Amino acid sequence: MTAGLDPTRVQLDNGLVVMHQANRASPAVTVSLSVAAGACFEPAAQAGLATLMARGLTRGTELRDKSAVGEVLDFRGAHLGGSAGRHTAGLVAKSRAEDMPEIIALLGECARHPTFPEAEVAKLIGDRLTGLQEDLDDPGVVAMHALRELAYPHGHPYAARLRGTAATVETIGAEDLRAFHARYFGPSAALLVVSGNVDVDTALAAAHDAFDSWSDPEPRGGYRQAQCTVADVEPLHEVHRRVDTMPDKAQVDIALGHASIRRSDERYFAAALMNTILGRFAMGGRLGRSVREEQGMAYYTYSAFAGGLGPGPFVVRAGVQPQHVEPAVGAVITEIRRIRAEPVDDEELDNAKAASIRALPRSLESNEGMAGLLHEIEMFDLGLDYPQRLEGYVNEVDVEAVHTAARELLCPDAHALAIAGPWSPPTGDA
Amino acid sequence: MSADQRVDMTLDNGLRVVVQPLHNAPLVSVWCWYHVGSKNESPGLTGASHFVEHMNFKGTPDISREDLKVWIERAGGSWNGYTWIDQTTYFETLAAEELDLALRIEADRMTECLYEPEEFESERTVVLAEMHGNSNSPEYLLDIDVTAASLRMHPYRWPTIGWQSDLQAMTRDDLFGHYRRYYQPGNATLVVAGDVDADAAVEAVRRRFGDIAPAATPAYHRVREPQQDRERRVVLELPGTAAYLQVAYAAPAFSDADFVPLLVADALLSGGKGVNLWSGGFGRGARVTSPLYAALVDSELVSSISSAVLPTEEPYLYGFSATLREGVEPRRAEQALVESVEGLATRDLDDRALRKAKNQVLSALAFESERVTDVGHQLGYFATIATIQALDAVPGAVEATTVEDVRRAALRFLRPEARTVGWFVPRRAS
Repeated sequence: MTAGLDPTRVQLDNGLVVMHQANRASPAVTVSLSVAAGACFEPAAQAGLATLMARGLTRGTELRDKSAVGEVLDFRGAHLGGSAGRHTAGLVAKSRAEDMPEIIALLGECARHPTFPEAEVAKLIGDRLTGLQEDLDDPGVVAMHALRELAYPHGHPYAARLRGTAATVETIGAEDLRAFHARYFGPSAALLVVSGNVDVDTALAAAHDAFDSWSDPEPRGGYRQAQCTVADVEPLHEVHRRVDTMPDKAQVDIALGHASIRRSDERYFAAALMNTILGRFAMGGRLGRSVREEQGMAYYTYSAFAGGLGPGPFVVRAGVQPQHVEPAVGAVITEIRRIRAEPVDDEELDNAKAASIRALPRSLESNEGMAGLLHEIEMFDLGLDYPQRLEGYVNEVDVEAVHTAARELLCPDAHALAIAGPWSPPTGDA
Repeated sequence: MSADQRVDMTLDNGLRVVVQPLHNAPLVSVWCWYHVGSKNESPGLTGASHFVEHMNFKGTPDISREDLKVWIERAGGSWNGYTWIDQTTYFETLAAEELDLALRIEADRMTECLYEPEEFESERTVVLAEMHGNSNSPEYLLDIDVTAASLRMHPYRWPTIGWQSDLQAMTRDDLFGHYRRYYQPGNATLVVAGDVDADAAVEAVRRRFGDIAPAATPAYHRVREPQQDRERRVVLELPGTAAYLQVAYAAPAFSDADFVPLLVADALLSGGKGVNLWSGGFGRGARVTSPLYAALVDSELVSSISSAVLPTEEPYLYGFSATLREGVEPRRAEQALVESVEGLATRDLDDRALRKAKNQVLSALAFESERVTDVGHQLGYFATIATIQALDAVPGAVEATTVEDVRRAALRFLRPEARTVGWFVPRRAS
């Protein structure tokens, strides 16, 4: 399963962790820089700051303006863009292998010396406000925003809207981006991953050239150590429902879920396999079989489970026609009750295990997939031999562990339920 | 991918077989392509090809609906299918030693699908749910109307998913008839790409498909779209939160000598893309140094703009799509877009600009063939709509494109009278 997998990890003197894995399948290289500078570090009143800062990294540096940055990339047909999540912010580049040293150098320049020009930040904010307007018209986005707000307490980093709201974004200016960058963007809280058609010596030499002279005003102790602490979440005690009626839309989006466990939880693999059986395997697991295949109520339905640094959400999603809203929610709850009430079949568990283990080569085939695995290894301190050990972790899980995970982690009577689209609750059912 | 090791042959029953050995990962991707898409339908049966694709995941006497998915995913595999204007396709990407499983599934699907009446009715609801999900997007609604306005006669004018009235009226026998007419070995291409021995793979294909009896497929009566001789306009005024602009021009078929020059022209206007609909970056916004970015994004008329020249069997459309910034009059954005696009033919194009455009297209072509799934897609896609040799020739044709070629293509296609303009004007909730 893991033949040819031989990642390298080195740490530069300034604390930057560099990881590399060669992939000779195509002439391309992907370079990813992640820094502990995600949305959980931004003030609640400035939600959207981390994502705007990340987007602004390529909008001009001390050495060149946005067009000159673009010219380096565009002449080579390369890509470089910034983005941020709840924990990290960073840059990802993709280029042909022969251009990699120059592209890493540019990535380093954007990471270390961005200027966030006023005019460019104003454009970014204008574009963001348009995007937020679009979000208000998208039932899927509306439902997921509502779910997070119902499932997590106000002020929790997993409740916030990553891209902010019009009210928070309008308070943000270029100086805020500069200050956020200056405070959080440094090598002692960063990870650089190089994956693709480049040997390790060439990749490390380019990383040294681009980042050796990068320093932190105040070192933050390491990529993992610098991550924000995310508080536990009190379980819900009843169903918290929100309906956003959007009468002119054609389909209703449903999101049902609640906070779940961290990646470090000892039940992680049991929970992941339970989720595979409930809402992933063979297109949507038991949920897909019931809601889509047998009852024909939805084009899509699945469950997602994100064991991260904090108690990430467990969510069931479905897109249904208005007359199917209540039957679909009922069918989802039925399946959740069933997996809690009865142990899964041996065959179901074997299938979920086989799929998890044997899918590894496919998920590592692309440079982006490989970079994602290396990031996971570093973020959660899994060790470079984690891919070799993964099969053992999965195979240790038995039917009882899956049943325990279902009973302890799924809440059919106490969850958040967000419904957005052309549907209103029956009178008296608000 | 190396054409040297590729096998391209035809079985006695007419099935085209293409095997491309690739030994970077222990994976194989099997794609089965049928030369039938929405252009083979007629009013009253629009959407039949796509509906058939859905029904062809519903099981056969030998392989149940569930087994099909379970077997693939147990092997670490992914699977899916899609239907578009020229073609319908199905694929499995899985561990290389499971090649025969994928071949068994595809051979079975070619002749044995059940079309049970209760499955048909259930799946009709799922297809309608898919359509309604798409219809939640204003850009999708605008695209449907712009396409139908651009093409008055050609069957490319209706959406692949079909018109709702046809989907509601279609019978099980309509679909089964469509399936039996077009799912014949002589109308199919079977592609195997991955970690296989070419001769052994051909023999494996022969064992599974060799005994399928040949049959004729219906003659295709090509409709030639009359040349558009004046601008057409569509305005959708619907509830929404953002305004959108789309502009479409008649575009050449992939086999037209001006297709690649128009691909380079598109790179000059907004940034280079490749020719892979499965993995390509068609949704990516205009590059920072492109004229469309300068004219529309930098000038703060739109928050994003993208464009695409798509490889099709018959002449289709070259489309531009933009999200307008809050408060911008659609006419201003339209004027800026049209001036940039239609001004290309008379713009000074120096060698560096052309080199840059070519580099972008060539990089995109390299990036879009990273995984065995992408390679399998490309071989089958082009075997179906043109020739594999024509796909292999694209990089050389890009290199050979001159400024004069680009001008000729721009003068031929980017004409005011060949333009269709669509506005989505949001009607805000009071």
